[in-house]
Amino acid sequence: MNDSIIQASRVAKRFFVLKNKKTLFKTLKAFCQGKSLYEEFWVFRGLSFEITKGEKVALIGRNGAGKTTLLRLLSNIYDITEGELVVKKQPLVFLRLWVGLNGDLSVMDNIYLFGAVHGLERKFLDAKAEEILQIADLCHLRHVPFKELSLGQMQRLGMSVVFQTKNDFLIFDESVGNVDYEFMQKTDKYFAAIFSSEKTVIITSHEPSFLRRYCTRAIWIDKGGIRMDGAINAVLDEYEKASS
Amino acid sequence: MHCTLLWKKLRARMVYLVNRSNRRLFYELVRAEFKMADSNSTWGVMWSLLGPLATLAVMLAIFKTFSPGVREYPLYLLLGISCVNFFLITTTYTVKIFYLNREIVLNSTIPREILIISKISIFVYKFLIELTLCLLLGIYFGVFSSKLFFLFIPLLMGFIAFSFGIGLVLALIYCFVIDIEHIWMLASRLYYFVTPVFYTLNDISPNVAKLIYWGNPLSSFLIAFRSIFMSTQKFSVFDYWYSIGLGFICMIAGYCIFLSIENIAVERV
Repeated sequence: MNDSIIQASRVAKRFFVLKNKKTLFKTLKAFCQGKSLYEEFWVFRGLSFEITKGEKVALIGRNGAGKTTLLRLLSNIYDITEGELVVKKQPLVFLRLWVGLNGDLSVMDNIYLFGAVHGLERKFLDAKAEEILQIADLCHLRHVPFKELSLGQMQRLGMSVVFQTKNDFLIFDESVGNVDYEFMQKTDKYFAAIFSSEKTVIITSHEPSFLRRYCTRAIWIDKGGIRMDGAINAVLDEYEKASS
Repeated sequence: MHCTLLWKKLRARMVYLVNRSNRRLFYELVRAEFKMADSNSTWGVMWSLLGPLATLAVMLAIFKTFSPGVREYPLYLLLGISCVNFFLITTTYTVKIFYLNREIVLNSTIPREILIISKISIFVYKFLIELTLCLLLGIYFGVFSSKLFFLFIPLLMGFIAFSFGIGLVLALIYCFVIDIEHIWMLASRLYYFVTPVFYTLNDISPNVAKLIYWGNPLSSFLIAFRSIFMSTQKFSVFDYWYSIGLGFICMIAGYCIFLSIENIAVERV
């Protein structure tokens, strides 16, 4: 039986980017000449890989290498341009931890809103709200508008709701950062639990120590293709060598 | 072949849209919209009434001699203002919806149309308040008849579907051509004049009246709404079903276009 959850075969993604500054004159000129103001930009081409159920995969690469784009393709936020991509189960996606949070609403309202965006029921959150506030250390700020929190507090609230999700296929994009040491330990505990479970996890991070601790495999994306795909330590060693 | 695929996609999406998780999400988004609307305002929902009432007062002062054919002119005018207002507010807001919600559109897997539907719900609520005011005015003028009022809900649904369909298409166009916002703003200013808001189609030349009726879909909606709220306005079965049909056709067409290109469009946001 094939246990793969993702099968990517020669996947390519193209965007159209502006060649130069867009002005009315240039737009009209391009229109009259039948030319385009945009040019093709291939983020990557020919990506082939397979991820099986229960794997913990780190996506690594420099800024702009296409990690987030790949995560968006896997989440069906973007369409692929070429190739074939089969994702057998809809993942629960955490690309930005403040997605779904509303600055004008109170912290409590945001727990329900953010929870709903990530598939959590109000009834379930009713029972968990106090625990979420305690984990985020925001009990005293429950009625404060969300926009008045600091960046770290916002991230803490987001993560505290994430801790309650139950999906078995998770995607994280540089989700850890801006939080204090105490909350980092709680986050570590959460990741330790999910990474030791049967869940499938794909994560990007610029913290090699974090990835070494939890992932078993790494895919290094570089210059529009996969530069290396293998055991986490081997790939990260090469990556660090190339980066230094 | 393409139509079959699109039909399958449409059905699958509709099933996905009404699943438990998305229904909950819709509830939370609508709840958030209602909490945010007028949340920091002392007068709250009164502002929803004051806006159209102020427009009504100004228009009444200007146009009261213009249309002597209608005895209950304030009601006639208020119905026109409310319908056009709803359409314009809905479409003007939705035109930028993917841009304003860029973070959520690009970083979550929620069905994007839920954002539009939840936003429209607050406008529908305000529209209903205005229509209640129209109903009260109708009773005051003695022109309200409960005989036709059961026709109101399908017409309202058709009108919402029409505004949603147009809004969806505008939101998609905005992803490729930002200028559509300005073009739409300019067009909106004309809408009060090219829709029989303060005049009747009988007041203008037959050719212009024809052009306004067939060229501007809002006209038939306005005529149908007025015939339900005002027993003095002749009810036309054709106007009624034409408006409802047009509304749902616009929605289905807009939704099919949306399903075909949504991922390509949001890449450009």
